[in-house]
Amino acid sequence: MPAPKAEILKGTLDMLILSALAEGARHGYGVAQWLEETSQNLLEIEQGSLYPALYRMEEKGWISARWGTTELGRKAKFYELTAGGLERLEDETAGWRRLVKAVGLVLKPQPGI
Amino acid sequence: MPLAPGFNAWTRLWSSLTRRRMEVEEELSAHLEMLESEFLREGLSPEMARLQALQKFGNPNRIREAAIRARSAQRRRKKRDAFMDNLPQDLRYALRGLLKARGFTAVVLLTLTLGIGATVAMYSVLHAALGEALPFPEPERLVAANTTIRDNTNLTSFPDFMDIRDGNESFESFGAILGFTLPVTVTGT
Repeated sequence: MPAPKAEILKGTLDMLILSALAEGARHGYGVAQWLEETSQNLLEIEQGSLYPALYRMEEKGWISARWGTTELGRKAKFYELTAGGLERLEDETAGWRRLVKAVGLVLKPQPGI
Repeated sequence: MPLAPGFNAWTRLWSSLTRRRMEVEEELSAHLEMLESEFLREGLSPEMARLQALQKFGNPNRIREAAIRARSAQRRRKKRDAFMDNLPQDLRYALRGLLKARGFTAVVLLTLTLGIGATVAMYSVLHAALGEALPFPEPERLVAANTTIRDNTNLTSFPDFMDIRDGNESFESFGAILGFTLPVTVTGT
């Protein structure tokens, strides 16, 4: 039986997509694949929210898009992090680590729950 | 034959909207195909691979519309933010311009004041005279009548009024009005 999936928290999707693009340009499918593999299949991204997020972030100037060819020779749209997007990713990552640390500190005294 | 002015702009807008829509469609179908070939590599039959890919992907039309909506919403947000950001500066700029051209400002202000004032006054009178419905139910059924003597309008005596009222076969009810004021004393409560 596959392990239960972790739910993608509201507001973290942008950060996850930005980090998928931090290593280089990817197409939408590549982003979804990378997130699934890197999270050891704990995260599954819904295409219904992936593309709206990509388009929104392109409009915000955090990522830029261009058409290219995949390794298999198929035409696809590739997304790349912009300088603004990188900055945003760093901000969001720092904020996330703070949140995780804070929540961890709060939850620690009650290990039974 | 020259086309109507603005026609070109509309067709350009239309074709650019269609092109963008097709671009999104192209992007989504690329995703779907890659998903499909992954399932094929896993050993599924072409039909099953297609089905699985669609199931995992979701409704492409819905996703396309959601993506387009997200983009235009972001565009609108950006425009609104820019407008709000510039608003104080724009207002200051306008005010400076008005202060610099005082004569012009005075003329414009005077024109606007007189124009608006005259219009308001005229419409207030019109509204009071015509616009307000008479305080009766179904005012469109009211009729005014008066007595004439040798083609001259005259007062109607109260006995005449009672005769007309009692012999009436055409009107639902009758009332009498007086076109001038009379002193009236009311006693009691």
